[in-house]
Amino acid sequence: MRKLLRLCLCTAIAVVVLLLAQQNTVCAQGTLLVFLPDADDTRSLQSELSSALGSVNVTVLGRLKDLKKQLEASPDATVLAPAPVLQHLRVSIVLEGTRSGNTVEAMSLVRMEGTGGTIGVLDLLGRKATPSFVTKLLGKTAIADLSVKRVRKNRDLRALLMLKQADAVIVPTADASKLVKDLGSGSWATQLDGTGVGLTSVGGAGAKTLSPAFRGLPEPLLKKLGIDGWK
Amino acid sequence: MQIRKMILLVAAFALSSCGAPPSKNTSNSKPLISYQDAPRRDGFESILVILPASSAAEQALKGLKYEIEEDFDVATLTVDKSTKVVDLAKAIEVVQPKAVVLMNNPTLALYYHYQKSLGGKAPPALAMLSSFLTNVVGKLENTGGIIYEVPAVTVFPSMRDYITRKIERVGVIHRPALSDFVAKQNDLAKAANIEIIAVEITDSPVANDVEAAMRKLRKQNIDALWVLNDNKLLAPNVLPGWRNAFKAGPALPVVVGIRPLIDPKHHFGSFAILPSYEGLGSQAGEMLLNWADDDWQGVNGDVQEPVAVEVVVDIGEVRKHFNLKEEMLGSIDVIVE
Repeated sequence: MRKLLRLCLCTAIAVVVLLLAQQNTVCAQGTLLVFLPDADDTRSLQSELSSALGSVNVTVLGRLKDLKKQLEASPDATVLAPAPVLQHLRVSIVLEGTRSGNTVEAMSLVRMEGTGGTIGVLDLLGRKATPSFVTKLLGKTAIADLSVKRVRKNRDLRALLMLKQADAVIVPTADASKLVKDLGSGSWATQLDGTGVGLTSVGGAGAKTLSPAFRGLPEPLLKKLGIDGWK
Repeated sequence: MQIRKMILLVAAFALSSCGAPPSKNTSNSKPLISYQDAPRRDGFESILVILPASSAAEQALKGLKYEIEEDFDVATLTVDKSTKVVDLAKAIEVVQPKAVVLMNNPTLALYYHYQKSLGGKAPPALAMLSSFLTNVVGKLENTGGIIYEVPAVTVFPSMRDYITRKIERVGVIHRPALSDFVAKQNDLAKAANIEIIAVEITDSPVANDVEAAMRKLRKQNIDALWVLNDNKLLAPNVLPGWRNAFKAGPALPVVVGIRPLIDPKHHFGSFAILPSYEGLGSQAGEMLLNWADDDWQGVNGDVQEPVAVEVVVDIGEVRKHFNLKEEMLGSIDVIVE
């Protein structure tokens, strides 16, 4: 009788533990393709997303072309990427990332000197699509003889300016004052009135299924994605 | 024993780096890396990449391919010590490239001899992963490229991103052969509010020369030290001089240009700011596409500094002495501890 009671007690504890575990981890399945070109430490990002999203197969990609190839191979995949990338790939957006309530990040043009037309920008969309993307970001700011230089990390934009390989660079407005400070006297920033850049978003065929899991992501992980919530 | 290990590490790097000959490709010693070319596509012109079997070249090739494969076919020719001008000539004849990419010093030298043997009309060339590009590019025809060394104007702002310590006066010890390079770096670095304090030493330095130069630099209140990638300054008989000099005064942030010098056991370099090889490949690809857009008119003398870097940090040393900005930890590419 005592043995039976002990067995029942153990079973009850096991059930409670399992239920609690299920509450903490949304057991979703599928493939998540991640393309966040300016993210730091992509290896830890992959493992943190994997553990937070349960049974989802997470792949972090470093290049747009790799994302395109993977998406062709797995059309049912969910994609986590900056909104302009999802729009460029015609992936329907299900969740828009927000920061302080905004879904779009304002951008600024930072110049060191002169009025030249070579503009440095983070490479989100590749060589062919970036010039028209830059034109949208510039809005009413006119640049004569516009040519675009792409970099793989926002931090490389400072080097482009200092090495005089670009006449100006486009950076998030939130980063512009630090860049101006780094560049010293003679540099200045102008906030652009163009479209801005849509923040990290979720889209694709599997996105609806995974929405609850994304909404449950912990705050520090959202911060790594460059956002603080979802819309 | 530990110093010996470090010397061996540096020597091993020197043999595998840009300035060294590529790995030997004989029947007895297969290269570690073999490059698989995609089939040629109808209607596509090609770029021939001439490169050693090394991981640096492999990464650079990856970045280059990403950038240009939609516009050009990419063919490769793996070279080693045994490769002759005639082998290069044959590859160019077969591939008929619009341009060639030369990765490392021996490859650049090989192409120089190829150009001389032709007496002109060689394909335009882009040189990279070569430590003496600026010295030789003028001797080659229709050649541009990307310098290997990361310039001071990139190095020190990158370092400032990670520590709160003021970095304005940077000491450097150099041989006469590098005085022009140092002067140019000083000019460029002014844009970042960096002043290079240089001490020139003999052409064949020994450990004592470095120690004496470091004493001079410390008297000039430098905020950091920049150790150049100069084989003679990092020779086994000179390395103990650096180590003694570092111990002889307060800790200084030391920036080096090769990864093995970031070693938590010996605390030589605190930071290595290195070129990103894949980034170099992307930059080379963009240059080639721009040259192609310009009908290959803008090649000659188009020499750029590298833009993308990789940051390696001896985290224990930096935390202990230089006030690491902990919020920047995630953006360090390689943490050594």
